[in-house]
Amino acid sequence: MSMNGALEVDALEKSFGGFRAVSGVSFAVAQGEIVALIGPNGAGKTTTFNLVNGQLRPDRGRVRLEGADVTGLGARELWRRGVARTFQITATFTSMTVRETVAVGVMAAQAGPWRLPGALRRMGALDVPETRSLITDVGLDALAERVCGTLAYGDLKRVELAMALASRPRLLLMDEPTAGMAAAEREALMALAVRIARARRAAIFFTEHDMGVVFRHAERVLVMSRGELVAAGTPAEIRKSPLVREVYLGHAASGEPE
Amino acid sequence: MLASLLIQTLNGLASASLLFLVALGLSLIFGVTRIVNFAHGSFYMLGAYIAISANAWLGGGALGFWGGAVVAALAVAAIGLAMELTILRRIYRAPELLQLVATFGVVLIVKDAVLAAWGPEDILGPRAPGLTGSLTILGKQLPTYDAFLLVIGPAMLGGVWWLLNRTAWGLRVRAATEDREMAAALGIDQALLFSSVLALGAFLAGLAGALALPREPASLGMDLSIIADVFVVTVVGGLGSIPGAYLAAVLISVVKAWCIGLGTTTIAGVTISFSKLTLVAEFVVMAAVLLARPHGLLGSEPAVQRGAATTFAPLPIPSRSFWAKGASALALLLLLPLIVDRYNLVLLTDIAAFALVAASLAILMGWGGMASFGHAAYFGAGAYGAALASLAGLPFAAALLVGLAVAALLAALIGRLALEASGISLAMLTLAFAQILWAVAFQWDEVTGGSNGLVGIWPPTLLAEKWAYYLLAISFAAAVMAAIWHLAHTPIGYALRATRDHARRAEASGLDIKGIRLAAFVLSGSVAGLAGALLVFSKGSLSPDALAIPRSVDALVMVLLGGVETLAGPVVGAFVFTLLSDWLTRATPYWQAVLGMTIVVLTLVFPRGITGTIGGWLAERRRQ
Repeated sequence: MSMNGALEVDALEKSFGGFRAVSGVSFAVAQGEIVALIGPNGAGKTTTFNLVNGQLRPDRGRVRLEGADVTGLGARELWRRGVARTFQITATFTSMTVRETVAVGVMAAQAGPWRLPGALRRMGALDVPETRSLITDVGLDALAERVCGTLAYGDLKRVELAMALASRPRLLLMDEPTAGMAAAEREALMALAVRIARARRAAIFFTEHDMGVVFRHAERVLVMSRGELVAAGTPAEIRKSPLVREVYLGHAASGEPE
Repeated sequence: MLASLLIQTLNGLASASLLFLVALGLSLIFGVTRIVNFAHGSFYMLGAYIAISANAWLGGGALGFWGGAVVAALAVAAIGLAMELTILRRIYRAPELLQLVATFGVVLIVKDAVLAAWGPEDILGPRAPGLTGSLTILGKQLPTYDAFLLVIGPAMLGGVWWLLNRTAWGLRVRAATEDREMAAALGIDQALLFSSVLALGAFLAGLAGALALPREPASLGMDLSIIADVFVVTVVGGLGSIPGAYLAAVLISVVKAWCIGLGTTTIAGVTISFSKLTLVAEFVVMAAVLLARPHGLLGSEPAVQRGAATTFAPLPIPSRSFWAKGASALALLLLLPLIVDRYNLVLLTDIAAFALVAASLAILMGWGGMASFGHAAYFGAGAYGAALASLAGLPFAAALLVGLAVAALLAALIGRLALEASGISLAMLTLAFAQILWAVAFQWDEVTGGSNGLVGIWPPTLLAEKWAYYLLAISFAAAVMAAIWHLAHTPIGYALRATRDHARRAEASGLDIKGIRLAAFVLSGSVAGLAGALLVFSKGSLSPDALAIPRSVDALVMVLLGGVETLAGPVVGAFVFTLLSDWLTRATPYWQAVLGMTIVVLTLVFPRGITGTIGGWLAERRRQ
């Protein structure tokens, strides 16, 4: 594995009680690469994802960021090391406007607002170009003064994307980014995320159910089944792989529960 | 030595049984309804009083004692049922703090009902016939009744375990505890289940009250003293864990019993009065357990409640016209001494201080979404700090600063420990801390003057006139309020609201959740402490009441009454509440009951407070 890999995962294992959810999973995401993790329900995608984002601690194995061991570190430590994330169910600050929400994300990454005299100034007065350009980037200029709690689901996803990008991450983790969205919206959101990430040279590691989204936007696809990584390759390779067909269709064909 | 330690341990286990019976009921009710029933201590008190009357009615003797205990428990079960049907049923979906406040309204009503029915004096209860002797263990005496109580706790633990794990009713209770929505979706009759759990929980508390009689007289203070202990037990044991509650009750009672048993002992040349450490011991046990296991001894991560998420309205940014209105209100207030008499000037000084307390609490509750139920701790600490500094000869301004600093330090300490928990556990812990502080002030005669308190704390001659002190208090309050309103929209204000709106999102965006919350505790505590310091110089004296639970609840009611969603809400709440309670205390001896009913009605009818409700009406009219 290359030393400049944004994310390196080495022989991860995690069991819940007697059930081994993830066993011996290793992969890497290069700088600026866009990688999808797929697999049928119960394959261990979400567990793997949560082992990477620090929500779960692996029983064995390591997670490295740009060479540094970050296994089991919490969300804030990962943020410090250039990792941002979005949540499966959108998470925004519902009592704040879009501008304020994004500004909180931008502010968190700066020192000024947390020491005097910045700490005593109104946040409106601390408005930085960064906040404005993020809002423009995700296409929310028209909704900037709307309160997040009143936005439509698709717009909330954009707010969250802007928040995640506010810390100038080098790796963006997206947990089922398009879950719960209409088909056209899904495509637009993922295209937006990929466009911005490319412009900012950030890598994206995401899990996703919509194969259309995966095959159109991922540069590389990892496939999990029963807790193990069973295939990896370009979308074209994965689409053609008999093994992947087996993983997805074999279950259905033999009538086993997913 | 060993023998006396053993006796103290058994003694502790006997106390643990009673504590556990009350905690068991509280846990059962919480598990199913997700409501922490503040009135559970009142059920305990009612059990004791009713048992005394039932004993007399049944002609005393064995029938009177045991029959009386059963009658009392059944009567309390009926009262609990009535409370479920009339009040709790309406607030199952309300925010948890509102639920806690509503059940506190019941505490006040029950207190005055008991006062009316049995009078203010403590009443000695009957002793248990046949169990009045004592057993001799290793040459030491253990009251036979303690031996009986010792068995009751584990027996009830076993009984309830059987009920929960071996009956169809228990299966439903467990299902509802696990996932209320799912249980309802599967067709479990919620109304019946909730009512029966309430009745059982009240029954257990009533029984505990009746069984406590041979050890302590029935008194009007037993409701709040047991509820604080029970909150500690439930949180230390792990909220919702019944074996955990028993374990915690044993741990705390035994440590307390040891402290009493050790008395004054000299260890390595240092004389320590352990019996005076009893209260601190409870605190130390609680702190140690929570630092090691944030969810309590046998507790686990609280279950996620579907659909229970509360969303907060945006906090308005103070506009030019808001500041202008504030400035004209201040100008009017500064002119009031020209037309208002001495009595009302003192009352208005009170209001200035309480407005600060309410505003400081709103920082935690409103901006931070943290349920602080022991705000009197900071208010009282500020008052005691300032009073002691003044009595030690420090000038007025320095004494105010000492008060503020003491409160800030205390808030940092309580915040550090209580923030290990969150949600309703946080509320219960802050209440327990405040109650411990109250007990310390009540008992530490040498320093705090004990129940008599401190007297002769006056401001310098320049401020000796009531109008002069009023002007000072109002100016102080106005300056601090303006600072708080400004702070709401500075980075820390936003960060605090971000942690409230979505803690995990805030953390993933790099905000230091615990640091921000702790900062809010210290800020809030400082303001409340300053208010306490200001008030003590207006009154000239101070008693442990400044730290008591009702003082904390007053602050909560002011905030809820005013509304947390607006900037001016807490000030309006303090104004209305203080005037109302001043008028009530003069109008009727049963003002607590009237206040209690007001609180209940308020939480049922105006859950968004005065400013929130009026704001809602105005917004509605604008739309039409």
